[in-house]
Order: sequence, then C-alpha cells, then structure tokens
Amino acid sequence: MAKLGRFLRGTRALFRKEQTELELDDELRDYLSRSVEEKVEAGKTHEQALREARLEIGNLDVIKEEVRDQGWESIAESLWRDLRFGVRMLVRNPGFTAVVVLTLALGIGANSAIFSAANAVLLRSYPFQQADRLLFLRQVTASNPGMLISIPNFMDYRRQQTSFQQLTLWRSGSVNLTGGDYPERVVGSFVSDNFFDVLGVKATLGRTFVSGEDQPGAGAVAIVGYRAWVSRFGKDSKLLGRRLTLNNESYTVVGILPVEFSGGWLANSDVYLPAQHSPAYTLDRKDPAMFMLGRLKDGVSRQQAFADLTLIEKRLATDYPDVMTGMHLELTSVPEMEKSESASTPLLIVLAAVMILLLIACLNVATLLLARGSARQQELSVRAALGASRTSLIRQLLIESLLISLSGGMLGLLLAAWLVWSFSDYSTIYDIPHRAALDWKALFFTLSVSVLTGVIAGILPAIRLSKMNPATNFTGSSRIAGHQGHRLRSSFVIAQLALAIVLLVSASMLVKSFWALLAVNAGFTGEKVLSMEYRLPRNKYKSGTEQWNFHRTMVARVGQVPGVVSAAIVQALPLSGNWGELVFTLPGRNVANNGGEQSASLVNLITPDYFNTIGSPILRGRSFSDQDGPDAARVIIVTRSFASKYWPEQNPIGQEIEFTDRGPGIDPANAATHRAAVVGVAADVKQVNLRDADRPLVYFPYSQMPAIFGTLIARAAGDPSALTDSIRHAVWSVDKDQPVWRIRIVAEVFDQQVAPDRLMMSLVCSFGVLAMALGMIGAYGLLSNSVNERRKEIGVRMALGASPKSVLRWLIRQAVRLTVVGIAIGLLGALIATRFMTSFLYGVAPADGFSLILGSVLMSVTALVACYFPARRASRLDPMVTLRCE
Amino acid sequence: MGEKPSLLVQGTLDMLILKTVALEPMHGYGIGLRLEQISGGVFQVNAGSLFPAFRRLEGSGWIKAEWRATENNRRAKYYALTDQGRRKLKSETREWETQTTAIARILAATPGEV
Repeated sequence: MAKLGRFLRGTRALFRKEQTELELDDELRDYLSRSVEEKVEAGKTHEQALREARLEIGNLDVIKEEVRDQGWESIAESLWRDLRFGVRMLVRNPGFTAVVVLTLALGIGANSAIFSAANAVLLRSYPFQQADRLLFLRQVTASNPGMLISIPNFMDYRRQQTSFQQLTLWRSGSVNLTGGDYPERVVGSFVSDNFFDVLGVKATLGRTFVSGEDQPGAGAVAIVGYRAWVSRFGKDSKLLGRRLTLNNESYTVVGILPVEFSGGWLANSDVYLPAQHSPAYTLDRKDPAMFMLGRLKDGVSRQQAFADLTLIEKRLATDYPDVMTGMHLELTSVPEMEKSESASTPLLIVLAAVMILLLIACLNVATLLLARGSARQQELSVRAALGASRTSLIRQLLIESLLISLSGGMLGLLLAAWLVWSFSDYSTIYDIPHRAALDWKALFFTLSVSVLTGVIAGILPAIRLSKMNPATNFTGSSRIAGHQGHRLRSSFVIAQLALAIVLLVSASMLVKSFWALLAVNAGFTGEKVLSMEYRLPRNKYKSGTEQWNFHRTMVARVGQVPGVVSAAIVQALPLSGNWGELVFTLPGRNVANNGGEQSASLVNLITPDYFNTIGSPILRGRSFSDQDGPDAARVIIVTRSFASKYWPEQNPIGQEIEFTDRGPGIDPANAATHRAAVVGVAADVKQVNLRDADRPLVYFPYSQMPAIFGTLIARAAGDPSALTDSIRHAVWSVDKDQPVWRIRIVAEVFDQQVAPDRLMMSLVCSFGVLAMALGMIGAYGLLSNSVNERRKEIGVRMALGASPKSVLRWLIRQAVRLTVVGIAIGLLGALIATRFMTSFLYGVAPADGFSLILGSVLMSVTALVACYFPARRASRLDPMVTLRCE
Repeated sequence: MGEKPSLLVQGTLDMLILKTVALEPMHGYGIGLRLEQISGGVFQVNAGSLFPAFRRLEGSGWIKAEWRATENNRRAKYYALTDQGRRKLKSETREWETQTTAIARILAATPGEV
C-alpha cells in the first residue's frame, strides 16, 4: 500500500510539476522570511538579517534540486532530460550520427533478415502434435541409406511391435488430375488408413480414412489438402462427395484437411489416396515400396523402441535370409528428417558471419563513441564539476548509445524487410516449407539485438569517459583521454580488423569453392534444351508395350515440331534430383569376391537421340538406335568410369552384365534374369550432385526397359522456351489427358545446383566487404584522432627539427602495429572458424593458404589507406600554428 | 558542507524530524528551530538538509503536509505525523536505544570486564 501511495504521489508530482514547484517556492520563501523575522527580533537590522538568513539557507536552486532528487519521479524526469539531451547531441552532430546509425542499421538489418530465414528453416513448427515422437523407420543396408520398406516387411513389423501406438505407411508421388481444361499434375500422398490418426490430424470437412480403406478392393476415396481445396477448387464445400479423376481412376472426395496441415514433407500434398493406389505398391518383400513411420507410445524411449524393432528384425532375418541380409532399421524423427542438412549448415554459417559483422559494427561504434568522447571531455568535466555523479554520467552516455542503436535498429528493420522481400525467391532453393517473413519473432529479435548492441557499444566508452577528475581536466588539455583511453580504442580497432579478416578469409574460400563448382564439367550442355517431366498412369498404360508405344510416338512427334533440332526421353535428368540405382552381377565373376554384395551402379533410361540432344559425347562404340527394339538383343551403354571400374584392362564393348527384373507388377518368384551387352561407352556425367566424383552409370534403352516416368528433352535451334506450347500440344496429340510439368531449360538445373553456393558466397562476400569498410573507418578514426591529440607534440617535434618524414614514420609504425596484431589474431580466428565450413566447401582445403594471404593483404591495404589521410595531415602541420593554437 | 551536520549521526535526521512533528504539527522553519532548541544548540540543521528530508519522509508516507493559515494571517506548510510515521518512530526509537546502550556499554568497558 505504501508503495502504491508513493507511486501515486510520484505520478501526481510528475503531472503537477508546476504545482509542486510552486509549493516548494512558497515553502522556502516562508522559511526565509521566518528566519529574517527572528533575526530582526534578536535586534539586527532588516538588511543584516536578510543577508545572514540568505547565507544560512544557501543556494535555493541546489536545495530544490536535492528535494526533487528524493522521489522516483525525479529519476524518470532525469531520464527524460538525458533523452532530450541525447537527441540534441545527436542532432547537433549529424555526420557522426549518420555514420554510427547507418553502421548499426547495416549490422542489425542483416541480422534480422538472416534470422528470419533461419527462423523459417531451423525453428519451424510442425503441423501435427509432438513431431519429435513421430519417427521414420528407415530400412538401411551398408551401401544404401534407404528410406523405404517393403509392404510385407511393414506388415510383419506392424503385427509384432509393441513400442509404437501405430505404424503407418506413406509415400508421395505425382498424380494426374484430368477432366479440367487441360491435364494437370498434382502432388499426391499414398497412405495407410491410419495415417491421419498417427499424425493426430482431423479433417476440417468430412472425414479422414477409416479402417480397411487401404485394402485392395476397397472403395476409391480421396482426401483433399487445404491448399489445393482453395487454389484448385475455389474453397467449394460441395467438393465433398464429388468425384475426381486421378490417374485415370475415379475417386470420391470424402474429406478436406485443415489449414494448419500444410507445409513440410508429410503435409504438402494436394490429394491423399489410400496406399494400394500407389504405382509403387507391391507385395514383393524384396521391393522397398513406401516410407514406414509411427508414433512412439507414451513413456517409451527411442532406445526401447529400437531394441523392440531389432528383435523383430532378427526374426525376419531368419525367415527371409535372402532379403534381409545386411539390412537393419534406423529411427529418425520427423524434424530430423525434414531438417535438411543442405539448408541448415549454410544458414548457420551465414548466421555466424552476420553476427561477426554486427560485432564489428558494435566495436566500430564503440570506437567512434570513445573518439568523440575525448572531444566531449570538456563538456563532461563541466558536468562532473557541477555535481553530476559518475552514475549519472554513465547513464547519460548509455542513453545516447541506446538512442543510436535503437535508431539503427529501426532503420535496420527497413533494410531487413527489403532483404527478406528481395531474397524470398531463394526459399525455393532450400525447399523451405515456410517462406521467410518478418514476423513478431523477428521484430522481437531486432529489438533485443538493438538494445544489446547499444549496451555493448556504449558500456565501455561510458565507463571510460566517466572516469576522470574534473579538477585536472579543466585546463582544457588535449590529452585528457590519456594513454589508457587510447589503448582501449586500439584494442577495439585490432578486434575489428581481426574479425574482418575472419570474414574475408571465409569469403575468399567460398568464392574459390564456387569457382571450383562452376568449373566442374557436368558432362552436358543445356542452354538450348527444354525439358519437362511426365508420368504415365499405370492403370491406363498397363503393359510395357503400351508404355513404350507412348514414349516412342510422343518423342517422334516432338522431334517433328518446327524449331526442334532433336528430341529424346531420359528417365532421370542429370542434376534434377531424380536418379536410380541398379543391382547387377558380372557373368563369370564371383559375387563373393565383391565383398559379398552385388555390384550396384547408377542407372538411367534413355531413347536413341539422348546423347546428341543433351550434348554429351559417345566415346566408343555407338548410341542406341531404332534397331534396339523390345525384341532385339538387350543392349546397354556404360559411362567411362563404369567401364574402367569393371573392365579396366579390356575392351568394354561386347561385355555383359546380368540383372533381374524388379518392380511393381512383377512377381518376384518368376522374375526373369537378363543379360545385356555393352554397345557403347559414354562420357561421365554428374547425375546426382555436382560435387560427386564420377560415379559409374549404366544406360538402358526405354524400348527394352519399360517405365512410366520420363523427362522429355528437346534441343531447340533458337530460344527453347518459345517452343513450350508447341511441344506440350505435341504431347497432348498423343494423349490429351497426359499432364507435363517442371518445364524448364536444362541449364537451369545446373544453376539450381550451385544456387545455395552462389547465395552463400555473395552473402559472406558482402559481409566481408562491409567488414573491411568498417575496419577501415575504425582504423582511420583511431589514427586521425591520435594525430589530433598529439598535434602539439608533433608541432614541438617539428619545431625542434623533426622532418615530416619522421612524423610519418611514427604514424605508420602505429598503423603497422595495429595491422600486425590484428592480422595475427584474425588468421588464428579464421583457421578455427573456417573449420566449420568444410562440409560446404568444394575443392578448397580447410586451411587455404591463398585465402589466408589474401585476407591479410586486403587488411594491410585497408590499414594503409586508413593511415594515409591522417598522415598527410600530420606531415602538413605548421608547427607555428599548432603551438599557438593551445 | 561538512561543518554542522557532521555532528548528526547519519540517518538520524529523519528520526529527529519524526519526533519533532510528533509533538505537534509544525512548519519547516519551526522544525529546524525546535531541533536546535531541544538539542541545546548542538544540532543546527540547515534548509539544505531539512527540505530533502521532508520530501523523503512525505514520499514514504510517514508525515503528511498541509497548508494552514498561521498567526498574522500567513500561509505555511505544516507537517504532521501519520499513523505509519508513528509506528516508524516507535520502532526507530527502540532500535536507537538498543544501539546506544550497546555502544555506551562498549565504550565504558574496562580491561577487567572482558
């Protein structure tokens, strides 16, 4: 109660300041007149009494000031006064203010922008409960970090396991949606009936799947995702119960998913269909068909679950030794699975870089505050002499630096908004489910960073500047800051230079790595080649013959489109993210010699004109031709690295490999084994990743290896994108219901591969350049300040006969000391810091000598440039003028 | 600054003011005068110490102020003790007595007693 009363009185005093002041005046006047009266009564004259009374009472203003200092309202008031004073100081020095505010705006803005990106990737939430209890059960072999599991295996695990509430299946794939203006491809998910129960998601309209709907022969039902419901079906609630033609079959829509269920791996599909409709669905135990996932029972740990599953695994291994040898399960939670390494590592690197930049900005501002402080020393001395306590000086200086940092933060927010907006396209590079945006988290982050920055940049200068003895400073000497102040500033500048070197070295290594990537020969040229993907519905193109007929007719029609030089189909376009593997044996060689495992290599399907269409040469032998039909002898083409790995000493042409048919719709018991002979050797291509070493790859002709998925490529005489429509219509002339998608120029896949590197390189480079500029400003400020402070000394020296040269030497010595120490610390820091980048670098050693030297040289040049102007000024000082000036 | 109030033990001024206004409500000058008189001229408290103390005590709710007409029709600000102030004075006095007794005992100690 007492506190409340005090607060109320204080508030009243704040608002009725006039009144309170008047009362105090009255009271003091009353006091004075009583004092006078008493002295008059004691026999003094009125004048004498008045004089004595005035002497006794002292300075009225001091009393008033002390009275005011008693309440908390006085603190608020003096804060307000400091604030106004701070604003006045900043406005009066617009040049200084602009520099420090802009410096911090850059640092803070860059941080907020990167934070928003990191926020979208690293700190995202999941559209279902307890995502970390939701585990993927991945079936892994030594050579294959596989993700998928066969459906018979899944059923055994589901029956026998005890640690999960339920296990469920999921696999996504493209689905053809027809019946509209033109055929479309939508993203589909094929799931078990309990999928939504496991995730804990309820339909917003209608229902999710019910038990038994994932059995063969159950009714064809579909659930539509919220995004697709809005964008494709206009949020029409009558969609429930309507029939959609998906992959040529008719499905009844039974449910719409809620808006929250979108984004990320499991939740990004347009339609959800029962598992048995998946083209990959097969009951072959050898064929990993789908993802298995499950939610842990409450209280069951991951280790317990793993032990439980290992037991089942052993049983399976005894029952099916041929399938299960070398296989084991691994558990990965959904967040771990979705947190793609490819996105988080570069983000963390960039985050670290941008924080270093902010630290440099802080140091820079601190140096500038210190430098300006020594110019303000006289003002501060006067304040101290007039009775300002040290705390109140520190408070005033801190308020000034907070003002600077908060203005910087506000400006930085604008910068961040612009950065986020202009870089938002990059979210597609990293497949970021949620686009980066400046949300309240980012606002809060910016505010905290601003306050922290203000305190960090302001606290040391404030403590340093407030520490002084007013008496000795009144003389107005120019060396007030003293040696200590100078040393503090020197160490700030050294720290700036060192941090800048860390950034410069990192940037240089990233540039080198990027150049190395650009220099990689991917094995094809795609500037003139248009590509588009398609997937034939298996229920419409049931047999291999039907599938091959579509491919053959379609590619022939596209080849006739005016402007098309040549056309081909490839199953997995290099660097597109698609690729496949083939397990094979070499006839006459012992499998055991091969480490007990069959050989495996990348595999691709192509049509005859593939190599000249994509611009990749045949090195030996020939390409496929129309003679290599479905019934002709089986042929393959291998890449150079395949040939040199398996037939190092022999002519690869005519050699054979042996393999077994696998896949949906093939009964494993009667699966045929084939041999195919090499007819040509092709150049190596980067199929999966630009950074990979050349991996062996074997090509099969589409004619002998039917498939439903293909990437149509067409080399154009002129602008390839101009052919988009005519090529699409050529496809639709074969099947009007066949959608095509991912229409792009092949060279773009290359750009997309290096896009993360390009982005990171340009970010860290711009941070490095900014850091260098800030370091230069810092060093310049320090040196020019030390020239100013020692003007008198320089004048005396020169008057005594020192040459301008010796003055220059003195300055350069100073600059060299800063640089050498800065570089030494910086190189050490760079060696440690770049260690964390190695996973992202290509073709660059962790301690890259070139980059280390480049960073040092750049920084030395920077320091020299910073040294130039103060040096020139110092050497041009007229001794007479400087001596008179004091 | 260090002349007269140096006689006053730090922190005792508040207690003395409370005691003075406990006798009867009084204006600022009167309080100073009373302190001087009662102490037999030992304590001379100037305005620079008094007025901040008034504001402090008022802020803590131990005294309350009131403008009153005085003899020969002048207005003066009179300070009076509140109930809270009375309790505070009581506890301060008790505390003070304990301390002074203890200090006196220590100062009066002779070697034999220890």
